[in-house]
Amino acid sequence: MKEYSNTQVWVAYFFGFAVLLSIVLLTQWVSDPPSKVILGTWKEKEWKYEVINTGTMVEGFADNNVKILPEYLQNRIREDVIVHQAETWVFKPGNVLLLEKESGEIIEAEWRLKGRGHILYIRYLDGSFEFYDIKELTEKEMVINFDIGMEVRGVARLTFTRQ
Amino acid sequence: MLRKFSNSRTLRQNLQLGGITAFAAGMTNVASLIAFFAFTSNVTGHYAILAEEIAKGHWHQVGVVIIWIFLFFIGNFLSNFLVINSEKLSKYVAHAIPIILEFICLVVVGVYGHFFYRETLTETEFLVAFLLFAMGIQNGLVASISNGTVKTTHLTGLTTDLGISLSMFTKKKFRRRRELRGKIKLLTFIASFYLLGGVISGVIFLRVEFLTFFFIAAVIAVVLLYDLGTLARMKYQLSKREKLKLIQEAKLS
Repeated sequence: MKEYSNTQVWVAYFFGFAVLLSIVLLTQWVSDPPSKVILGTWKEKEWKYEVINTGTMVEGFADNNVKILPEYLQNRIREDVIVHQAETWVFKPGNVLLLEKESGEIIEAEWRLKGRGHILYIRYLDGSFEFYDIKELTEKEMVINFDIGMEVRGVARLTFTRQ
Repeated sequence: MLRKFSNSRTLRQNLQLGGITAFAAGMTNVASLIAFFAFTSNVTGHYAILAEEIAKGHWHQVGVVIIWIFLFFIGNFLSNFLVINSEKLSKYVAHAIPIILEFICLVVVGVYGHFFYRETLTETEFLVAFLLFAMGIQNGLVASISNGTVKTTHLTGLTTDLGISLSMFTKKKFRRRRELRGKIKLLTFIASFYLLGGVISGVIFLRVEFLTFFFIAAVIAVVLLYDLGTLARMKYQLSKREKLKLIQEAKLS
């Protein structure tokens, strides 16, 4: 077996590190962080419910594995979850989130991204908060999941398009 | 706990080291999960996340996860590098240096989190990286000085070993083997302390938030101070014995 000197080993380590560093720098150069991409105005396009408890679903809304949540259940969830009452979400710099309802009423809240930018944390002025799992975040579309955890067990999926 | 190396370590020493460090790792993992929504005591999940982010083309996240995995790796590298390059120092000092580094990392995260953290994504990414580095150091040191017997920051390999060992217990000839019984005891001990640390951390973090990291640093300090305490006790007993001997000699003369 060929024997390598200490210098050769350190040189190999250095090159390995340089390659890794270059890859990391490239990834940061070609894409913006989620905290930047999320800024702007997002219009709620779709509200879907990934089925876990199929007994609560209304037949005829099936769309492969995803079913549209019946209106009465949507309303029940909207009663419990503040943010779902809003149709337009405006993410502003300085972690300000404006939730605009259809009626024109605006709710102010704070937004934060956690993890590797895959968790959206929303804190309201009254101290209550909500967590969303960001499934997709591009320049055009944002898809977030919300664990409902009530009678309709499962995950609500909200899709937004940038305005 | 830190004075003995490799095969010269007793089961008791491995139980002490494994229990305390697993407790700290469990605490760190749960605290970081609550604070940052990221695991920091192991990287198995991060490899899966890396593959997922590559597949989705989320390049910023790809870079972040690469850094996280790399820092855990560097922690392991540095830990063993310090041990094998500290031949001139005593074994205790050589093994204590990585633990001191881990202690510093935990304190830094505690101080930053408590006084300066504004919950920005960049801060979160850096603090997670810091904790992964700390856990890498711990894992590298513990595995290195116990000759791979003790690994305390992740439980995948441990659960595998426990499953294999317990299956061997179904045969009488294996049940008689003392080292196998010791191994099962050690693995169960580590898993229990990891879990216990996680539960306690979950309870504490919800009350005192980032101050939890000071508590974890204090747990790690026990590893550092234990041997010093033992040495001091031995020294005291030795001097006491010498004094008694002198008194007895004086009486006889």
